[in-house]
Amino acid sequence: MDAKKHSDPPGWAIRLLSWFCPDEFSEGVLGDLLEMHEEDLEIRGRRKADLKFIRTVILFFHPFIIFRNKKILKIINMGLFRSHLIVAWRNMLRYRFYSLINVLGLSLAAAFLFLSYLFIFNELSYDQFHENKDRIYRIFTYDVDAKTGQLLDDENACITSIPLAPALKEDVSGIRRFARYGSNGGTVLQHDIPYKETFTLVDSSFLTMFSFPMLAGDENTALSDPNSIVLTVEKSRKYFKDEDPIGQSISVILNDSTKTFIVTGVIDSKASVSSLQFDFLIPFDRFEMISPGAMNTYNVAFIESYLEFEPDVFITSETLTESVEKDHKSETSRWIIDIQPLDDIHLNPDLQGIAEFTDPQKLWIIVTLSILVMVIAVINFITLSTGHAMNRVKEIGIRKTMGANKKMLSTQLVFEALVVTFVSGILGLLITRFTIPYFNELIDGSVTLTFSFFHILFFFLIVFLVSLISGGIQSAVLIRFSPTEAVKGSKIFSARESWLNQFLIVLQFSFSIILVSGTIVMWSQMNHIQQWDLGFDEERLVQVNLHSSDNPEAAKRLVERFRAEAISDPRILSVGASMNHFRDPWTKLSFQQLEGPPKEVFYNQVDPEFIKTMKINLITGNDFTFSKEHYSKSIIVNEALVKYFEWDDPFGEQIPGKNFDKTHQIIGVVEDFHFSSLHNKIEPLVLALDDDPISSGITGLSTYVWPSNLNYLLVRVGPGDLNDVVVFLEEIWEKIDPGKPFTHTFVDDQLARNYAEEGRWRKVINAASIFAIVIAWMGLLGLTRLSVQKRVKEIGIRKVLGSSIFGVTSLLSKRFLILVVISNVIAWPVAWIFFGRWLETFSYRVDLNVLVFMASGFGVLTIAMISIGIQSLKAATANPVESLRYE
Amino acid sequence: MNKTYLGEFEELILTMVAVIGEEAYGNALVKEIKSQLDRDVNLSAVHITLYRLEDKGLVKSQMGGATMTRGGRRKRYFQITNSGLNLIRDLQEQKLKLWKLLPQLRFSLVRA
Repeated sequence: MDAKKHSDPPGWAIRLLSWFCPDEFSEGVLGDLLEMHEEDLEIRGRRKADLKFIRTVILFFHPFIIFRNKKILKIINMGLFRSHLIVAWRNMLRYRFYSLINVLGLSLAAAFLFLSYLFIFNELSYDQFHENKDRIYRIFTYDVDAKTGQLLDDENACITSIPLAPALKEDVSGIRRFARYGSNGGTVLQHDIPYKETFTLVDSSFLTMFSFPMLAGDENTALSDPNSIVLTVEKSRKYFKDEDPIGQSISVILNDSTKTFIVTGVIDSKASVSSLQFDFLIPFDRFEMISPGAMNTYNVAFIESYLEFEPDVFITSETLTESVEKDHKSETSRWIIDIQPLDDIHLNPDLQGIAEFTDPQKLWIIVTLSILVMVIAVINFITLSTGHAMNRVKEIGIRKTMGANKKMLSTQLVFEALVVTFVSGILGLLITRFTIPYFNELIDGSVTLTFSFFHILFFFLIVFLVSLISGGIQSAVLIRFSPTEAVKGSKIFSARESWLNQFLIVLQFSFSIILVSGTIVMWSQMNHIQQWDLGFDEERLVQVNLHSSDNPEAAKRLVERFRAEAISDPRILSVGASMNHFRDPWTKLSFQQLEGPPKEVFYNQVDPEFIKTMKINLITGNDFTFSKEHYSKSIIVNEALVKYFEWDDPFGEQIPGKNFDKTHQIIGVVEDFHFSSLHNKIEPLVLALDDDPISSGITGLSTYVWPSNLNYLLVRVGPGDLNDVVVFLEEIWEKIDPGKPFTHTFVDDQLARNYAEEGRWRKVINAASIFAIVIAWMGLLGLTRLSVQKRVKEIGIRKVLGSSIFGVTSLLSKRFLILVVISNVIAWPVAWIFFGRWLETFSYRVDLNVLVFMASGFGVLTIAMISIGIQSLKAATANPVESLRYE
Repeated sequence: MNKTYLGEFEELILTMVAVIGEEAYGNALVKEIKSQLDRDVNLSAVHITLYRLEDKGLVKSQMGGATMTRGGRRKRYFQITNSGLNLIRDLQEQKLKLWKLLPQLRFSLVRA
């Protein structure tokens, strides 16, 4: 009793242990456990101590212990065990139809559950393989008001400038090393054939700080030489086939200059689940070749920085911020440097950088869906088993008479449920095995089916859980009857009228209706987006990558030459050029306003023909083709910008930047067009021919492309075959600029890709609702059939007495139809709230329409009616002689 | 000859029982392994292994006296048997023999 005062681990865990642990061990084991718990309580605190206690108890659940247990072996008496097995098997065979529905439904649901489990397991295992993961942090920064401490912009940036990490390492003690991570497009030239690739630039410490599995090369030295390159197995195979890549040379064009790199290492990228993705690693200093201007400034941010602390050291955000503040003091705002642990980066929706990220919402959606489908299948199982258990009530009555107690009977029922669930589970595993490739395609994942300890544990957990729940509910319904009632076959018991069954059916159909209306809502939103007027014409617009260098004049000349060639063909209406890609967020500039907080505007460098080519509407003023006079000062802004600054006459205004030392001239205002995805509102935008009128006084920028330059050609194509035109464009390209690959995309495809994620989730919900409907429908089919079978004689008598076919059919189907209607009433408000919230993630969305819910409810009702109707009709049209003959 | 084979963990536990001597019960083993070898082992694994060793006749156990702590539960003390002692001695000798057969240790720097 004394010990109780100090430590009281969860009682259920103790009971569990004493239940399965053989008596001869129990005392020693439990004593040790309590002692351990008591000590842990002092050192680690209550929660951790309890957790460890529970974990240890569960680990005791070991075959060696269990099979020692005479007590359990006595309960699971081998003879009885076999008898249960035989009875369960016979029952399954005798009621083939119902067993089929159960097994089919359960195995489909199980497959769905397993797939989502594998997906989530995979997502949670991201970045767990790094040995130093507990000491590695990613830097993110944000601005707060110097006086109030209020957040100045609502975005946290994980994108940092190049010199930040080295400066921190220099100044703050306790930082063991840092690694920066950035990437850039480039071209591999092999046997004079150019291949477009992405190069990832990292510090040489990257390979030692992180634990990427190297197949060849030394992680300590692989990236120390400026000409070294490390590649993944896939890329090694692509370029060197089966040869040993180490020591081979590889020619890379980065930003117009060709460099030869020597391969110094190969990494097995498939062996680890990592948010930091790469194909080629080259030394970080190579950014000199790409953006030399960014090497020493804090104002250009486009890489991620990681810090590793010394063991047992933690450095606060305050320390890091102060270290930077010494050199960058500002009176109005504070630049906060903060850190995020490595294992947080994959699933944290608030901090997104370059590293691969999964919205945790995805995980919730998928868990919810699979549980919904599983619940529907389990409900089938329960309603059908209790339904046709009428036939088994006699068996149970006899068993009771022979002396079976309640516990034994429920053990038997749970055991039978276990047999069915286990069979379904195995079938579900098989389905999983064969659907994994489709599933991966659907969710853009990379899950694999392996038989690890946790996976197997999960399998058995699900099987046990499902059979305990369904077997438990069945026995609760069946066992309460006294043997006399049961053996007499008294009418008191009638499972079909039980409240439980009705409740379960309503639940089942509510879920189905929610899922179906979800499918319709998502579908209409996607349609809405596709038909939304973007403010420009995205169709028949070809985008060609210019692979520009950092010489803006050269790019402009290239555009001119291309235009001159292309425009001579009547199929091509106009040619423009743009700095930003439609797939990526556009460049965002921030500056200090004359009054008030810093402001951000979007910026895009364009060429004079851009507005015409894009078919963007000009509201007032002119576009850049009007006069070449003020080229260097002219800018065009969008309506949103004019609205933000509340200008009446934009032509006389200046954007109120504090440190702008050059003036600019607004020559036109364009109608708002969607340059980012429809998730976002249209923000203020500046279009200019180069960054000259706006670049001075910029305090920061976040961008995928910098310095400002024309990077993409946009070609407006007239009616006719697009593919011919692309071939023609390629010919022009070859003529004016050999040496760089011709890469083109269609802008409408690119935009559609912005919504690929939603498209994928729509498919997942589709699949789930089809699963749900099919399973629920099968259940209803089984139930109607049962209720019809039970009333065969009643129907016969009714018919003899003159009941019509219609009368009998409606008598039989009325009850189920009422249940489905009730489900509708329950499901609509739930679906309304749920999908209303989903739609709120879009700035431009459809209105939720009651019709959607009515349609889905009606659809489900129709499907239900078909199954009920067919069964009832069959019963109603049968000749009463058949059913009454033997009376 | 009917030989008994031991797994690595079994051998560790068996040796530890011998090392600790009189006071060898579950928790003591966990703590001793932690302090001697800086290795975290789970109590359940230790217990399961102990019973398995007992089945093989390498250790024997008896209950200790009543305690005031541990919820009043007695400790189960383990003690190495003669055959257990012989076995670890044999194992040690075998390892030594093999160790001596090892030609010269060369730490190769060649990576696969």
